[in-house]
Amino acid sequence: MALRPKSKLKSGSKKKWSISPRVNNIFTKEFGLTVGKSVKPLGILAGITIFLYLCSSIFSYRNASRKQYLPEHGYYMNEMPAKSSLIFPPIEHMPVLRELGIGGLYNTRTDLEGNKGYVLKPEDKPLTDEEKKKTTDQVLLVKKSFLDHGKWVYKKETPSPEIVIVTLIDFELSELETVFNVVQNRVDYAQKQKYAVYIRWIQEFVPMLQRQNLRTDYEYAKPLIMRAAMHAFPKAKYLFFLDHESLIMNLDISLQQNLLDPKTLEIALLKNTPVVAESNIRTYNHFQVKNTKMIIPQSPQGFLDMSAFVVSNDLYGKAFLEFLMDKLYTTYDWESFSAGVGHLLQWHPHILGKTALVHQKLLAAPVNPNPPSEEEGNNSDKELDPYYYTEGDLVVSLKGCRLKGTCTQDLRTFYEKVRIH
Amino acid sequence: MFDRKRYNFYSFKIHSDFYSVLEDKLILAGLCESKRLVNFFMEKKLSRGKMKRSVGRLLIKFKRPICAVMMLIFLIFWIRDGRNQGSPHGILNQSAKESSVRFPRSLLDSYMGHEHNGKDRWTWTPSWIRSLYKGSQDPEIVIILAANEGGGVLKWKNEQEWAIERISIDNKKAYAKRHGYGLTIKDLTVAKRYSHEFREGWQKLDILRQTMREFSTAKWFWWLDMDTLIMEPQKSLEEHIFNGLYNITDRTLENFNPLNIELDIPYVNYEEELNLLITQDCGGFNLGSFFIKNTEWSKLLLDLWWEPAHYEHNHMIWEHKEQDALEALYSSEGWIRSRVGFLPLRTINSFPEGACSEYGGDKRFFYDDTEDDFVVNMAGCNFGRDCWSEMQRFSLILEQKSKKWYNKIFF
Repeated sequence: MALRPKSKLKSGSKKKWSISPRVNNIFTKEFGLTVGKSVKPLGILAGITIFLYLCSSIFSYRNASRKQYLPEHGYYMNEMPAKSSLIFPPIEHMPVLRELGIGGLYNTRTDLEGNKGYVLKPEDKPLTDEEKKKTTDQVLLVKKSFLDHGKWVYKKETPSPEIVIVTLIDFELSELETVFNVVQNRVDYAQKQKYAVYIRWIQEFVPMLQRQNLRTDYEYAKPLIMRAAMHAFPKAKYLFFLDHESLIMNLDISLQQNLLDPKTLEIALLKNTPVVAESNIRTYNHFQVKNTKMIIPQSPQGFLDMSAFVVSNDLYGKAFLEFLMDKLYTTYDWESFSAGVGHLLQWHPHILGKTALVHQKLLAAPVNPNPPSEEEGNNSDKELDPYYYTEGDLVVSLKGCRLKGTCTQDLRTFYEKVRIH
Repeated sequence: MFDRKRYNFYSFKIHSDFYSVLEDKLILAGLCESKRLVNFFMEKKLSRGKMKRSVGRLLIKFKRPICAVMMLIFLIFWIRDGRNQGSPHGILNQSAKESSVRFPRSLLDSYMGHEHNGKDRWTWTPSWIRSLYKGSQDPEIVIILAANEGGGVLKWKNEQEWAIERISIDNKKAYAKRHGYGLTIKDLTVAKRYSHEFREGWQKLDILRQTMREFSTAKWFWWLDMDTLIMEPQKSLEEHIFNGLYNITDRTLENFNPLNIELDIPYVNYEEELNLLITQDCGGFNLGSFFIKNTEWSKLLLDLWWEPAHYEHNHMIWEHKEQDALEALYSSEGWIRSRVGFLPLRTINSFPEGACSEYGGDKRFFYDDTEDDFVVNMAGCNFGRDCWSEMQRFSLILEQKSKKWYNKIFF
């Protein structure tokens, strides 16, 4: 109410203002001060009013001091700045960790309904260097190092690596040698291409998982670590998740060349293909490659292969991952994690419009279970196998090796090929 | 040079018209006169200085008429402003006098007639000034008004419902016109298309998405339910909300948390801009009146808001569908929390005493005309309360508020 007449007044007084200086000028020149005195106060008054009006509008913005809120944080409140962009846990702790087991690493809490669960303490403070020197208890050191590993964040302004390679490692199921090979493989590639590495124990995510059971919820840790990596490398552009049963086989090709370049992506893109096998929802024919925010490989059988995928570190990536790790979503009885992702893509056109489904071979080439015999092999050398891993591919995926029990061996064989001596 | 008699005649005319409604012609005539004057001087080919002097002399000579004309222009603007309140003029006086309103429909017809006439007569409103400096006709703020909520197919609308709808629409129409905002009325009758699926009530999201496409250049959208009235139509949204947005909004639930949602979750960045402005009533989030910004974030939220997997699990618990879904998303996802701001209920969504009645007397919820609350939302008035009587009550308050002292003199 109060302001309305004021703004009206302004329109009137503005006109006065435009006249009065002219009038004043003439007055002072021609008629002297006698006439001027009668009009001047009016002009001055109008001037002051307009001045005050303008000032008030300027100051009302300046006074707007924002309220203070907590800065962004991950699952832990206290974070540690990392000096190196290669973040991975001390692998030599593996035997001790295995001995401790998950039960020895976390506190358990029983809720009102009698369900026991591991709890993560968000306020947990990291062990300082001094404390580390004082402590003689090796087991405690290992335990603290495990619990503190999630607190590392790399927040250097420049020059931040553009791409982060994210991997989950397991101290319960894998052999020490395998874990070592996997970590070394990522680090080699990252150093060669100037990328960052973000590797964590999968056991670090047990308290956050719906059923707190790695055997059933294993894959649901993937969005969790990816989101943590986004937080740890806020300046990175893309995050590349790679399963611990995959190896980077071609250290010379960068992701930018092999994948992120719109021209390359255009070729690898699956257009007008059912999102998952036999789905009515197809990927867009008019997909805009330059708007790509998520890259997911699809197997020739039509399944989404979540053993390797790329997510951009922006609004879309965050929404995609946080939606997948939301308890609202994980409580649903999905057939598998990738079925859940498939559902997400089918029901949410906005997300699908930013997700590029690509040929599996590009990001996670599987090993041919029936390798061609020697004679046939000579032929297939000339013709590249369109589905299975061939030399020169970026990644080999040993999916299914756990069932056969050949993971350690297979990984060793492949690792020997790319090992940097 | 300029004859005095003519001027006197002129001023006389002004006086005689002063007490009736002034016509634009008069001002036009004044303008023409001054143009003729200028031409007159141009013809005489006076040197620049001479002309300046003579213009000055003229101005001194006619400073009184100039002042009077200015005053008149000012008054005309002011009075028109007062007239253009969008208050249901007349009808409600009549209906209030009659103890029972038997024919609101016909009464409203007469009102509609009045509104129609008004349109032609009062086209020169302050939005004219707005359009001058804004340059384009595309509105920056668009009001989305939901009509026929949850109805249409299962029962006929009765007379009072028609009346409420008319009053509400006119109220928003006048407000949007006055401040140069866009207004779009969206029919929710299609809701029943979903009546045997679990999607009933969710089309709010579809409508928002569609409106965002329709008004792709708009910055903000203001969703309003039908049972609302803008009680302070002279307040612009910029003045009321957007200029001090970050001062009046709360980004956490620290101060008011009726649902006991966890206050701090991981990955919330409060430095991001606000994209969704909502209010909380005694029972949690209220989506009867809220703002959503036209951004990628909003489009993404509208896309992810409805998720069949979420809903299948929770449709027995989620009584208010999209409201509950938003609460659930807000409680667990940081990217959503980063851009949601909470306005106090009374800034854009005051309740009548009937709503949240168990909290009677709580100053946070209820409309208070002494404190000039902006919007009243008769939320849930069709559940055991009388929408029409509430609407009548608030329309009367609105009309009294819009009365100005000079209305008594001139009209």
